[in-house]
Amino acid sequence: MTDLTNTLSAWTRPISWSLLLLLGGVTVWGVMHTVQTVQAQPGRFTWRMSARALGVLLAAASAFLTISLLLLTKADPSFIRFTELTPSQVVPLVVPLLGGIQAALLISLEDEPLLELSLSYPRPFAWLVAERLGVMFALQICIGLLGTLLGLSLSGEGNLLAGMVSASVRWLPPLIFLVGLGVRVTLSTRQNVFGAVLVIPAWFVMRFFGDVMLINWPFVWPLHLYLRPETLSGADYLLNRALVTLLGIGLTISGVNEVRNEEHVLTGASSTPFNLRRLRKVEPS
Amino acid sequence: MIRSTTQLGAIIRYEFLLQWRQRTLLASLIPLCLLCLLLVFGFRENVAQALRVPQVVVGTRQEGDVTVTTTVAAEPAQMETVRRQASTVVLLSLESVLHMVGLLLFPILMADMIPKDRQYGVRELLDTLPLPGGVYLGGKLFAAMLSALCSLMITLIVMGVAWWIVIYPYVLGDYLVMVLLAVLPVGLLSTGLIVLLAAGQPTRRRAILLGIGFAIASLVLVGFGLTKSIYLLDYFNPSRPLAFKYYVMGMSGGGIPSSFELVSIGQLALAVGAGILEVAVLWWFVRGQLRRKQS
Repeated sequence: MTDLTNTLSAWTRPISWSLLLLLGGVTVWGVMHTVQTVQAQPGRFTWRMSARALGVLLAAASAFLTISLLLLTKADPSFIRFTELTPSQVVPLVVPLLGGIQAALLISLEDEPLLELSLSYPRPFAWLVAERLGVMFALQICIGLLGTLLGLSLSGEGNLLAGMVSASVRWLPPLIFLVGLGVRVTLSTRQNVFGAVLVIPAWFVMRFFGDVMLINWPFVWPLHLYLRPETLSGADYLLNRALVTLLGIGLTISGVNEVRNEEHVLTGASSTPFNLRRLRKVEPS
Repeated sequence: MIRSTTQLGAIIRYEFLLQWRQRTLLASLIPLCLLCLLLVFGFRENVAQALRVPQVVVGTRQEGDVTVTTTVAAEPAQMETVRRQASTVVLLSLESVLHMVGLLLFPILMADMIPKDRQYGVRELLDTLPLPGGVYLGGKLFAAMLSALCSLMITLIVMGVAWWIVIYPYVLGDYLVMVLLAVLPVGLLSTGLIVLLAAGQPTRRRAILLGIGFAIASLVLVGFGLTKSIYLLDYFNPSRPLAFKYYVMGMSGGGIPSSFELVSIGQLALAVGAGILEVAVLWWFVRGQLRRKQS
């Protein structure tokens, strides 16, 4: 670990801090913009409809898998030997993946029913995406916290509060990142299958090959979703967690920003100067 | 017969074109190629250490339930052979990665192939045409498999060439066996199964959810197949655990209990045959369902 830290501090830490500040600025802008929009149009939430559109299937699957794996790790020692999965690793394994997939399937612009009607409302279309994201986050965070609590109880952890905080720091940033990735890719490509397809390999590579990547390419430590606390110093570990979280939030804000352009929502085209020049070329004379 | 063949060819061709234009092929190809290149360059240091001092096995002994091998440093004349074998072993260990990715990726990408038609209202139009349900189903199935085959072949060629140049020349025959009996069957058979299983779904979203469920279930079913003995059900397990067992457990050398029944090449080939039979039976069943709906 000492060699890794010395290698890192040479040039990656200042870059990581710069990126953190930039992403922090984007996050603050996004939050301020959201607050202003909500204040301008109060009381226009439709949480129930968003919850109904989201569905409970993936959240139920997330809860089922988390509880099953936790009980298996407790009941069957050979399961732990074979899979090398401890109770503390179950929630970081399951919740970010299923949260990312659920975020990718949140909305498909090509398949969304009554899209044109939704765009004609005075309420911004981005609110529909934000509401569904909010419901999804609430569900997955509840599952994550309950799973963490169950895992700590099964491990016989003494200080539950400290254990909850340190365990949550392990799965919350990957969840936020994968959700942001899923949302961004889905809203850019207009098809939710692409978001799901990108989230799954990203999760797979980071979860199972992140540490191998770190050995060969130490400079990727700021973006390692499943960085273990003992790999780096405490300050660097927190920097990694903050960077991954803010990157996820940045991707989410960027994705939601895509749907502010109604032309892109309807047709996939955008009215940038480049596209307008392309469109003019095909106009009939 | 001739008309059915022509119709089948047309459906395969245009569905494949649709997959290309909708960027589904790229969506499978890019992550696969990136993953393979990541593995090649990521494993370079690990493999370099393994290849540095080639070891030759001089004896084995049993310590309880575990087989332990004794090795000595190879003579210079043996080094080339041992390095080639070592490179092959590490390369074949990557089958586990491609196996998992094949089980995770293709079911999600290909699940909505048939429900898409129903959602867009094209299905009703197709029902008015003199297109038999079996031909329609077969065309979609083969088109999906063709798309998966293209993605996998390009990925395997890229990985094979990259490994040869960057890491070390491996035993080509062993690599081809892995491609034909493990990686390609996993990807193609899981694609075929999910296209048929999701054929009756009314919307794309439900089909994709089914694909995700199939992918996650496949991951869990791999674990069920990694038992001490080989059972008949292992041949029909949709996650193809015998291939995983052959390459992951067989390639890991010492440390595997001698009571574990290892898989042979013949059994791998039988498992592929069982998978093809599974797809054929499911196709026949789904075709019957489609006929009942049409009548």
